[in-house]
Amino acid sequence: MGDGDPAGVAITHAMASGMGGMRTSGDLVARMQMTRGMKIAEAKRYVANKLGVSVAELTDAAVMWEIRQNLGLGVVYSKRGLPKGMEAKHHIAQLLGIEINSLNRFRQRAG
Amino acid sequence: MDYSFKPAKAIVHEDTPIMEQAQLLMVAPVFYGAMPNLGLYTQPDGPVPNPADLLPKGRIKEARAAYEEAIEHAVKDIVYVASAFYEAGADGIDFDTVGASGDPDFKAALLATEILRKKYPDICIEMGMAGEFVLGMHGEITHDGVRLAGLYPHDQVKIAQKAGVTIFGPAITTATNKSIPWTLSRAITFTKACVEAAEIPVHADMGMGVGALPVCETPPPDVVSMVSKAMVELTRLDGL
Repeated sequence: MGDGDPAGVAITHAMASGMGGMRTSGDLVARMQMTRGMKIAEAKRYVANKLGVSVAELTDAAVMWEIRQNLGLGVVYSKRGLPKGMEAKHHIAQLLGIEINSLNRFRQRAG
Repeated sequence: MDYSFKPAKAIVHEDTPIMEQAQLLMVAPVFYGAMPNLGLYTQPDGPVPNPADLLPKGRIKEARAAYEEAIEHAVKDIVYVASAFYEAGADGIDFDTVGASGDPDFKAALLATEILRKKYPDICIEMGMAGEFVLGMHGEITHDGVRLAGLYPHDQVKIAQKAGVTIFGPAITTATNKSIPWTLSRAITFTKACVEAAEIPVHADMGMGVGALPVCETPPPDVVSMVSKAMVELTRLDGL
């Protein structure tokens, strides 16, 4: 881990107080803040409920790796055949019951 | 390229395909962000007389008129660029360093937010501020009856959420002549009050020079990690 430029600061923040991003459920919790204006405690409870895990497990990379693979939510180091990009966002939108701007536009244009 | 909406407008047609490509590939949310940066609309960089030249000459009325004209230009550019990127699939728009040119800058961002919220009801707008105190460069600009000059984060967030902001970012300037514990205590005091007043998520600005991060090229990881953790644990905010 390095520090020394804005990217380095971001890495330190992520390690010190981040949820783990796509390694865990950080992107899912962020999407609830973005789309529903939920504060973080409510957003975590919502995502945990949808995934069927405890709030503590939301930041457990081992638990979330398995869940994300099983539900097709996208993982950082994706294996062959696992959903990526727009396909993973399709599953995220269905799971969380939210609208994703790029996904909606993709669907409209793809017919 | 300057990280501002005005220069971004000139190359928006080259940049939006990159956003479309990114959205096809990315799972994590991808925002587009830029600064309102009203300074770019003043002469010699822009069309409006420069208030920094007018104010020392005592031409206050003309300086205020120049700021008001700059607001109109900025709102048009912000709405144009933000609309283009949202229609290219962006998950949200980030207004960064809002208030860098004082109360007219904040006003432009609030007006643009209202227009974008009406145009795209589901859009996510994140508004990050330039400092803890809105400078009164104009001094008499109001929004919904509230004078913008002199607002601190706990009042800034109220007016931002009313305008349609989804996520608010208070920026507390680091005091470079004080210790990290001192400036961290100050940042936490302002941010905690902001979180308590907010009905929307609060993501504190914590890059170099704000949020108690030191102003240096290589911020020590022990300082950054301590500040990061303290801000989360003590203010109960929603993100950084």
